[in-house]
Amino acid sequence: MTNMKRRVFLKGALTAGGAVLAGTLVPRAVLAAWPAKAFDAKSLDAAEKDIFGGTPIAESGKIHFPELPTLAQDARSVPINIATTLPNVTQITLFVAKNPRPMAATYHLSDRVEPKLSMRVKMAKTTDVVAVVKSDGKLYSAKRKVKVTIGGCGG
Amino acid sequence: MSTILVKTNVGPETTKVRMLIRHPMETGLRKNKKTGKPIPAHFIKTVTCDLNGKTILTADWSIAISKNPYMSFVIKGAKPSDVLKISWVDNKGEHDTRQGKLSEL
Repeated sequence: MTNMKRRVFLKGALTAGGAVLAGTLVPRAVLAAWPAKAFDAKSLDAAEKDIFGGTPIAESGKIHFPELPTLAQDARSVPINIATTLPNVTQITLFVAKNPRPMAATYHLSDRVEPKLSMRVKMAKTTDVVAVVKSDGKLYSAKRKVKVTIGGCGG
Repeated sequence: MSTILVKTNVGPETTKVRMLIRHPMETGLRKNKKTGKPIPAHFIKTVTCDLNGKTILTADWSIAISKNPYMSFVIKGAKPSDVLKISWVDNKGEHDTRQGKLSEL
């Protein structure tokens, strides 16, 4: 009986140890690049400065938000599509200007991927969504206002 | 069961990949209404997409991405036999991976 329990205990300890090891070892390399400072920034300006290091951003008419609603049906899940005709796009970053943490996501694209992405984001209040695209090493941006109503009616 | 649901649409020139990941995406800014205690943040930080072993797209996410995240992207010139691998890792070190041929995902 005691022996049985000891077996069970050992087995449990071994698998738990394995899980901890897997948890710490696997993701470390991936997490290294996660831009914590920019994601934690409390304002759009601070977030842009942190992620782009103060590189100037030019407004562009070649960045689009296809099918973006002007009034969000559900502020917890606003569908955002970003597409651009700019060439050689290597990075696309999305900000929700007046969220408590404005930077929502950043995507690194290889040349095998078209600059055309979809996602769903939470919005705290009516504000601009801002997309910044890195094309040929330069930064371009576009923004669109999305209305959010608390409680789901009115506009 | 995998937490990652993938649908692919392989065309002659491009392949559209749509995915849904089952995840709470907890912001850490909410409070438990009964106890008043903050609910700890629990969100996916990075999603990596590899095609035939080469990374073609990485997504770094914040707490602003919605619960059970949806994402779609378009691959240029992929073959149905190409192997796509999608992995995510969250702020607690939890992770999951889904892999398969484009034609079979």
